[in-house]
Amino acid sequence: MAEAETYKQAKTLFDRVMKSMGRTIIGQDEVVEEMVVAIVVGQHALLEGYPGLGKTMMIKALSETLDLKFSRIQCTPDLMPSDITGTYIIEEEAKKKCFKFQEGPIFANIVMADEINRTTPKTQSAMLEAMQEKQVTVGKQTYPLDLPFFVLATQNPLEMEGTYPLPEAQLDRFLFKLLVKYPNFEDENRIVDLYTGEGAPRPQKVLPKEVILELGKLARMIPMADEMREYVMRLVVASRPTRENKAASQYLDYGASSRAGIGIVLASKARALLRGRNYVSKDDVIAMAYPVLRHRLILNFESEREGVSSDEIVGMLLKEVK
Amino acid sequence: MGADETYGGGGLDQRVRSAVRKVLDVKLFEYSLLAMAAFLVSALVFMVFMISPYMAFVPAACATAFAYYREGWGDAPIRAIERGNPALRDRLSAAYDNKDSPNFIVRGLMGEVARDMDEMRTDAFLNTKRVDTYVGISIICVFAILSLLFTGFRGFDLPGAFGSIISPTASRSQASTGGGGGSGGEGEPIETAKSSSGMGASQDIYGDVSMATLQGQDMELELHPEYGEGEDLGVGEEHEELPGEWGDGILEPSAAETYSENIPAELERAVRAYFDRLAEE
Repeated sequence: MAEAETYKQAKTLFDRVMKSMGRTIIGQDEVVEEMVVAIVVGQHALLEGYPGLGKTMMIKALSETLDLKFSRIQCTPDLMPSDITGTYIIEEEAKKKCFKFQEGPIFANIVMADEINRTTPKTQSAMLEAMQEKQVTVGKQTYPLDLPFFVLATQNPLEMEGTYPLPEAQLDRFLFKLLVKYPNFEDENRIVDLYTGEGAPRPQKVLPKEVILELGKLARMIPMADEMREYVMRLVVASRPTRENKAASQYLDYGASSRAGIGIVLASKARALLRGRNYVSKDDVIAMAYPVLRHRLILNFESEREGVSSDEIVGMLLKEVK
Repeated sequence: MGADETYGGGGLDQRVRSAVRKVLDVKLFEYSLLAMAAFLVSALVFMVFMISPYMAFVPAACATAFAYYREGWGDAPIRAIERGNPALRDRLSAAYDNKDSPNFIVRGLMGEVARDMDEMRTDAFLNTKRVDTYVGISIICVFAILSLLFTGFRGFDLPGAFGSIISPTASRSQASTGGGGGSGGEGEPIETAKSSSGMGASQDIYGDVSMATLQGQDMELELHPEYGEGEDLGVGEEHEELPGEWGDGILEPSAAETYSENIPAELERAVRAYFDRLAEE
């Protein structure tokens, strides 16, 4: 499909994705939209929520809807880096033994790292190069990953036992931290009804790989007003605890990095495109500020003592910055 | 959505320029109203404090310059256009800021914005709330100034050193009032010594009558205008008359105790009793 054609159909395609996802995932439209945005811009997302809320199912459904190669890594404390990236194995070819690279589960379009905070920091770090450079180096050889490449990691809340908190450097590589919340009563009723009947519905394949890549290029072409970009920058700067920034100095140890600014702008552009707009509005920026900033703000003791969450602090920052 | 290739960056530029011209006309009108309102307010305040109303040009010019500076004239036309058509907000800025970008999405956006701008009217740029405020303030000030002029209100002296700096005229009159002893009123301006007599001034040029309590009795310390008649020598004039021959009558020297103030008998008694007691002490 030509770029212009894809651009004209962007909203229709996105609506189709949402409809297909809606067949299996109920009451999580916002999270699904943010996941699609992350895939379109070629970034990764961290999914957090209590067990049993459908995180894994959501990612599997998305990979089926987008017709992408999907692999799953179940993270455990004894998982090794080579279990993720792959390793050399001895193989016999024409009566000759040689080392052959056996690709690990990271060689896929959508990689689900389930319960990423249950594996050791060493293994968590093994994904750093893949996530940032979209390539894997084993021994002296570097292998490029197939695009689009998207890591969706799920995480149980950190206060649960037997978890290794992700280091800040690795957290920063995730564009979004998405919170899967409890569905409301009606949605929960529908979920129970859906999964206790005969044969749960499967999502349809509605978006080929090439179109996702084209959408990614188009998202970067969406124009953004200078004033809006400055607003994003002011927001990011306001998250740094200095004397001028009241909320940040009261509740934060560290603020957001420049990568957060890039993330908000990119995500806002993609959201505008998928919603059928040819410009970025303030609503886009505000909507994307929460998932981009919430894992990049390092809370201090004061915020924990008062029980102030990252989202509440982002809300304060949005009020502070005009 | 839909890419419109018929409008390029040039088309948008042309429309923005045309809209900016309209905005400038409207802004000029708004600044004129602001200058007028600021002038009238300042003139009113200056009149009240006996400062020349012509000085009101200074604050009026300052207020206009400040408003111009505060508007941030760099992108003010764009913001005024956006204000004129709220639906254009974000879109116009996005299109205008990216007009040099060659991609078809931006060109399409510029086309849409240009079409919407064609439908805009000049009065859409007018900040009616601001204009209403300026006009309202101006009308109130005009009425207030006219009221002051018709009632003959002369204004208040500014206090102390501040008054002598801001309003030398007022402080001069204050000084002359202070030297007038009991005859001065509550800061009311009085004419200079020269014009105080024989100039046809009104009877109350000395201000309100002062009161004194002496020997438990209230008495008015009134200075009668006729006492000064014939004593006006003028400044710098030479007088050939002999001392005691000034004016209409001949002034004879007399002892202090024989001089009569022409005051009521009961007050005279009180004064005399007061001085007698002073002499005894």
